[in-house]
Amino acid sequence: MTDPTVIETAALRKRYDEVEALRGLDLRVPAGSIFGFLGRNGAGKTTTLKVLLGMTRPTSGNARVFGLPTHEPDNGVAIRRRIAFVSDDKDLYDYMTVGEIIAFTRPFFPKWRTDLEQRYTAKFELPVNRGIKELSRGTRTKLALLLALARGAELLILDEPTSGLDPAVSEDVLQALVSHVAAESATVFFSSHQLAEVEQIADHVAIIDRGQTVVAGPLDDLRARYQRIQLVFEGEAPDLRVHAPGSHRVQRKGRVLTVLTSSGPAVTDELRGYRPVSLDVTPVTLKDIFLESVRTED
Amino acid sequence: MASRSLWNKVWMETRWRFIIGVVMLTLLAGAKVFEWVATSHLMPQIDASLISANASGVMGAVIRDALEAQKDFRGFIWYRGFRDNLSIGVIFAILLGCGGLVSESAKGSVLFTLSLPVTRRDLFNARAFVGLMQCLALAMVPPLMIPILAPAIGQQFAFVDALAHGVCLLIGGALFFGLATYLSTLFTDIWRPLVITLALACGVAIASYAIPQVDVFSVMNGAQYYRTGVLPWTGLLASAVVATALLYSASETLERRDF
Amino acid sequence: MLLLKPNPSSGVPIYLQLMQQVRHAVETGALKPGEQLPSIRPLAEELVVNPNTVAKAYRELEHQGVIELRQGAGAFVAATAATQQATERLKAAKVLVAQGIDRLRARGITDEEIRRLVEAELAGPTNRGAAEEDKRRD
Repeated sequence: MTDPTVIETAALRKRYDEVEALRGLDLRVPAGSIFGFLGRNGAGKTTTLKVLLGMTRPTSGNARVFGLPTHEPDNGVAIRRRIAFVSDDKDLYDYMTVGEIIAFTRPFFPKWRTDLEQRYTAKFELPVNRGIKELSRGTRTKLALLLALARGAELLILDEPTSGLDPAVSEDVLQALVSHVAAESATVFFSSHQLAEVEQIADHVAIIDRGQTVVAGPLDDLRARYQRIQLVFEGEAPDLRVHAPGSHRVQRKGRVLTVLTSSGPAVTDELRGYRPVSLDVTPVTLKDIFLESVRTED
Repeated sequence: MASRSLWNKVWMETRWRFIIGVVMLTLLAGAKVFEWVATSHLMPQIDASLISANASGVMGAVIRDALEAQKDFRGFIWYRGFRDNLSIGVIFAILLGCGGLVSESAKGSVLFTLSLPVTRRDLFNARAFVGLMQCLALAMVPPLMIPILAPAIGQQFAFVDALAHGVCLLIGGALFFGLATYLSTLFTDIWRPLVITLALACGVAIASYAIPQVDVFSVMNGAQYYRTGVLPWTGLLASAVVATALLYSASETLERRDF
Repeated sequence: MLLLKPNPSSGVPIYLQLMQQVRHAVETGALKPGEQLPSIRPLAEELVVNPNTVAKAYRELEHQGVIELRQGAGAFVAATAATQQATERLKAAKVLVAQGIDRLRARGITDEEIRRLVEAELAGPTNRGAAEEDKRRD
């Protein structure tokens, strides 16, 4: 059965005592995509990853990976055989050496790819006999990545893969991910604050805020929908309200009116009716979309 | 094989505690054998009747017991070896029970462990298996020193006796191992399980004066076997049952935990 | 390498940037008709962009007739690509001319005047100088 959706959640909720970390989260990650998962700190990203990996049980709602519900323990093993997870801190066993942890991990995965193990050991210049506790963060990240890629995973789940890394190492990490997706038809699902990097390699994104998905879809679609429209008027810019559906942020300064909207084409038509002297549509970055989506007051 | 990987991981996490424990207890056992030489000269010089005239009650009984036991090599080994050094063995059994997944969650590497294609039960079983094997070594190796070294001072100690004491030590030790393991599933630090288990051990020791039935320490030091040549089956069975229950509870607690 | 790293934060989708680069290369002759383009996977690795994005760019370029995707062989610049480019450019130019003419007509300038203006401009700087002299003499 070829399910085009690798990860799927529906109305996912998770309550920790007083705090509701997830409040009905919906998510669909297509197979073969590089999916960026964005949100402010505390929005629920790490909780979502833990639910997908079976580390945490949801309070209610559904989560499926490869079509299998995650909370059943048997499914947990079947799922984890086909995925790899790299945590935010990339903490590994600090009492082992690089070589020891590779030897430790290998037997768990019948589909272990010795060719990838060798390729990345060389490419990342990993010191096989050095203790993990002596490694820099960048080297530890590369080691964690090798352990993830060499197991032949169909789905890679990464929590802030390039956080705390210098630009050169970041680029190596992104390149390895891109290469793996291309060569192995894998799916990558990663959370990140590095919006430029998400724009660079992701083809789908979801933005979550306060435990819910606020924006989701193919990145190119979002870029088409979200637009910044700048209008210049003959006199003082009118204090107008936008009626088209979607979210809009209107700023007035003298004769210039700027609207950042999630329904670009519809709003552009609406605003033309106000007869501005000039109307310009300028592109919007993922950062703009992010800030617009998570800053909206209730 | 994946389980071998897990066993190796547990071994790497606990090997120093284990090695230090086994070496220390083995050296203590060996030293005890040679201590007999000095003691055997002193013992006949103590007039038991003189002491029993002045000491009465529980204290008097304890002193009389001590003097009575240490009259010969076998008694000396039991009283001064298995009885006195018991607390050190118990401490190491407790130390081996500390650690595990929950305390690993204080470090980030638990996320790597939990993302492996194994169940929590597999992870727990690996820890329990290696821990019990280590308890086995801690319980059996030191007693075997006695029959091996006794001839060096012209004494004899039956291998069967050493094995019997080893079994008592193992099963009693497993109880404390189980207790520490269970408490380790409740706390993320390694100190609280350690301290609480030690406190409970002290509590049991004190309670044993009033309620002899809970005296797991006398089961462990094989007092009944020393006196009668019969293993304390009831005590051993009870300890084994409690140890199993504790390990089972630990495993279940782990299953339900949110990490 | 022929293709430059796209700018992810420019607001222009990466696949469009790649398409523009390829079209520019064909226009300037850096890529000749029949020449092979890099395969999707190595290109994605080199530029560190999503392979699906590269695939999308290539599909769109094929749709526009700029390149051909040959099963099992790879992506090649279409034999007619140069003429396609030329056709595209002329189409765009035609639109500009039409807009210009509309604007001038809207200001009341006659077609004859428009034609003369265009020819005068095309004639070049020397004639512009002559035209200035004519103006001054008037």
